Amino acid sequence: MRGVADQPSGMRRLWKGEVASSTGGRPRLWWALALLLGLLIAARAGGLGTAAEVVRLGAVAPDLTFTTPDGRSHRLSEFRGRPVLLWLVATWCPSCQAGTAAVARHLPELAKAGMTVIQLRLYDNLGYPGPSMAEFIRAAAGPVRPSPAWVWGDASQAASYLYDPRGYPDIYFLIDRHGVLRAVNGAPNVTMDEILAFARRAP
Amino acid sequence: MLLVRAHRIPRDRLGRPRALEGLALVLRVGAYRCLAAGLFLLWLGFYLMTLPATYTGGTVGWVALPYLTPPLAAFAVVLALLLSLVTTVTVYSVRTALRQRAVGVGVGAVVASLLPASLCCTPLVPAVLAALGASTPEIYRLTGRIQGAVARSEILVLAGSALLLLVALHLGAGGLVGSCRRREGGECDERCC
Repeated sequence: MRGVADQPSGMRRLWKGEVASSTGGRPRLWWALALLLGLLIAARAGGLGTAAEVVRLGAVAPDLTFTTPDGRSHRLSEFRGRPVLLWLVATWCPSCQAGTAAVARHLPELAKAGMTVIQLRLYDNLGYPGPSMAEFIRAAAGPVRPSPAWVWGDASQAASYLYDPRGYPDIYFLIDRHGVLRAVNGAPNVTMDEILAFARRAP
Repeated sequence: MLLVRAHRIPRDRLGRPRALEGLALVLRVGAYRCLAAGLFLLWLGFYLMTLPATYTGGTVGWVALPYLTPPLAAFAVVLALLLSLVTTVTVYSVRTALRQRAVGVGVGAVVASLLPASLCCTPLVPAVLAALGASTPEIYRLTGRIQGAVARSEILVLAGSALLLLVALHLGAGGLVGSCRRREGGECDERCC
């Protein structure tokens, strides 16, 4: 008989399937797989839409502040009257890079539809180092300048936590001319058709 | 050092690594050659549409193909080739009722090869952290470290999974020859030789 000190830890017993054999069932590996599956389903169900629990779809978008590379501070409410693509990114994120290139390609169409793209780096770049927004835009889209159709900068901590409490590295919001949040999604390079359609018919 | 290690790899009478002998054993049969070719095409399509998902926020399919870079295409070919061989050897082992040791390593390699596409930059890591009860400031500290590190080391992760597949192939094909010999006391079993 083994002493208490000789007993393997719970995790080790789980790993070896000893717990399962004592209950006469299959190894507890199935429970671990079920837990993993549950987490994946929770992740999927939570998805991007969970951000809307704080920033509610169909309601007026809460105001936020951001700073452009020239040091000027702006508010989201300044852009009321135009459809807005508010896009929060991390500059180490490959899909954000591909999305930035897509925005640069489609900027004439977006501008023609009257849309403003506000692209903001998330607070602290989501805890991982990366280039500044200006460097990131230059690397992904070439030498473009900020224009009324495309503004970029850094989101404040409060704005990041409010609009992206789950810390998704690539999340955007579509806001209509009245400042009402209409949609939330990610990876504009994949969903550019939907963004263009929204820009053309936004109320 | 490499030479010393190379000598440790089990070899056949002609000095070839035993895994090659096992692989030749399987691919000598036309049906298994066809199976390997079919699986290669299947896995190639899978990897071509999956590996670039880091650029599409996790979206897999035709939409990911334009984001295929030369290194990712090369990895898709290498991974598909190795995985098709591992799968074929596994099918052969199962059909000839031989002991198969490569399945666990092979599954591990497939999971590893899908890590960059599934972890970066999808909502998976943040949602799992939230499901585990992490607060917003904690998520902001952790998620970037995990996803950023995965994004930066994508090539390393893929190279690691290719290496794992090589190990799986070595175990599977090498073990095949070993099993044949063990079963017949040094003589080849007619079902596998």
